[in-house]
Amino acid sequence: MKPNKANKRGASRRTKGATFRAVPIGKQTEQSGTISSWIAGVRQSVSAYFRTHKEVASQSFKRLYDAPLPTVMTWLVIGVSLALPAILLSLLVNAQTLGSGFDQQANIHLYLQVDMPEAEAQQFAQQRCEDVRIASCQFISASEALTEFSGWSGFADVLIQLDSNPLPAWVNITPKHAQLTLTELQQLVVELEQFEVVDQAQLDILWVQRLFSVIDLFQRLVWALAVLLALAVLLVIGNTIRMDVENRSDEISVVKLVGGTAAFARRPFLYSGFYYGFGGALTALVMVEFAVLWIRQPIDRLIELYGSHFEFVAPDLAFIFGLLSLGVLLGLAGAWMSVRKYSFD
Amino acid sequence: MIRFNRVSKRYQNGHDALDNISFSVEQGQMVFLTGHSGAGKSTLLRLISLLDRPSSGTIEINGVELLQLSGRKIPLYRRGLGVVFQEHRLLFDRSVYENVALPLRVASYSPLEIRRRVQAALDRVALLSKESLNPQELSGGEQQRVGIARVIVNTPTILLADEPTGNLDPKLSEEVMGLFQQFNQFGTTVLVATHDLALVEKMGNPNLELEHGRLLV
Repeated sequence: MKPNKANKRGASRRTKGATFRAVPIGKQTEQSGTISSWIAGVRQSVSAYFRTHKEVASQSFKRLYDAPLPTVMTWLVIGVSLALPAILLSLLVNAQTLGSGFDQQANIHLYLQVDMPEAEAQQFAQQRCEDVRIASCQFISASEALTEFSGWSGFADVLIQLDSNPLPAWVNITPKHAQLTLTELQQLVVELEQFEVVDQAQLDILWVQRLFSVIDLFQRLVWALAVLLALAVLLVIGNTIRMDVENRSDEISVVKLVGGTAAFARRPFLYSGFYYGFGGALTALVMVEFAVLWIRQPIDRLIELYGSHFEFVAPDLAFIFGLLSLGVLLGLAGAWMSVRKYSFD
Repeated sequence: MIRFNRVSKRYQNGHDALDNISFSVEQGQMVFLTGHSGAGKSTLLRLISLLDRPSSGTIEINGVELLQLSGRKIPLYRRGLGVVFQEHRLLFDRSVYENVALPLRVASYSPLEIRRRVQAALDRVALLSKESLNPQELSGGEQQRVGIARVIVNTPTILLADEPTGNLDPKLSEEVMGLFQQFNQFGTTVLVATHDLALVEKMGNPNLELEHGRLLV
């Protein structure tokens, strides 16, 4: 029986030594060779590409929607894993802001020789103020220092019985913080200490440095935890998608058999990974917002007790965008990890 | 045209499924492939579908040497084939319509074209009224016809059927064979693997008989 000409379309065949690729019926376009037909072809391909993505995206979402319990459980697991480092990171950012505020308040205390005459001491203090690295100087005479000390130490009765004032005059120097690094600040202290009239120079920054060390340690711990939990999210999504791939092996083999490419077969799983990641990140975001609301009040009270004007900063738009992007990236990476292992060809 | 030239297939466990097979089927022919279980019928169809590769020999389909097809071209090649299985291989998480539409979605057809072709294919197998049902709600014979509709929707140049009537009663078997004959009359090359010799005799088409991986002359 002679084959029908129409049904030969789509077959690969040789004509005058040339091999033509199989073209399914309905996909053939006229080979006019004009730019407009080429543009129309490109437009058709692009539109088909986006249409396929739209279809697969909605089918993948429907699949998750049809199994609400496992989907919500997966989102919660991912949410907790992302929320924990996100909350700690939020605290860390606030601690760093608070610490930098303290850094800006560190002053140099210059304790002068006890027997130094007050006029001389005052003159010395004025001269120091002329230094370009110093913003302001406050001279506290020995008698002022004694009065102040008597006031808050509780030893007023004892101090009044002393023959002479044991306290020295001192100068409270505020450096120009914006222009000085910590090293330059320390250099200034060394220079000031070299004056004969200076008994001792103290940079009131040691505790800030300790705070920074603690924050640095905390930051490293938070990042280590974040990396570990991100890995956990990757494994959770990867494992969920792997099981999905195994459950849908029949579908994959049918898709292969009807001419589906590896990309076509992988696409639904990658979209599932996207939804798991995005949903998990959204869940994490809700958890972070609740946690911030919950801890904000006691933190504000604590800060108020220390007399600081610091305001606790809640996650901003960049933080929200970053967390959602991270969730999506982890979702796609986890899904890719699973589908990459399977041969779809 | 399907051309096998000294094709052998040895599996990793050492079993020789096909041994030095050579034959050719002209375009537009309908040919039966018979033999007992394990004779190599399914292996032969798997080689044509590129689900397996031969251990030696060459297979040429419509002028294309299959072993020389690159991985990227295999999906395109498969779009020109239609494979019907005994166990239907339908997807029970979607409707009859969606099952039949799958090959067209894979090939990025427009929604309008998909609707037109799916309805035509379902009409051809007399299942148009059941397009919105789940395949699980259909009888075995109807499920087989959905499988056939899924194959013909893409108007393949070659139709391969592996024991398509294995689970069907004689009347349904004849119906299915009748459908294959109809497609063949429109120019599709049809290769049907079956062990139902009575049906083969009744149809009167050429027959390639396999025994222990060898072709009996």
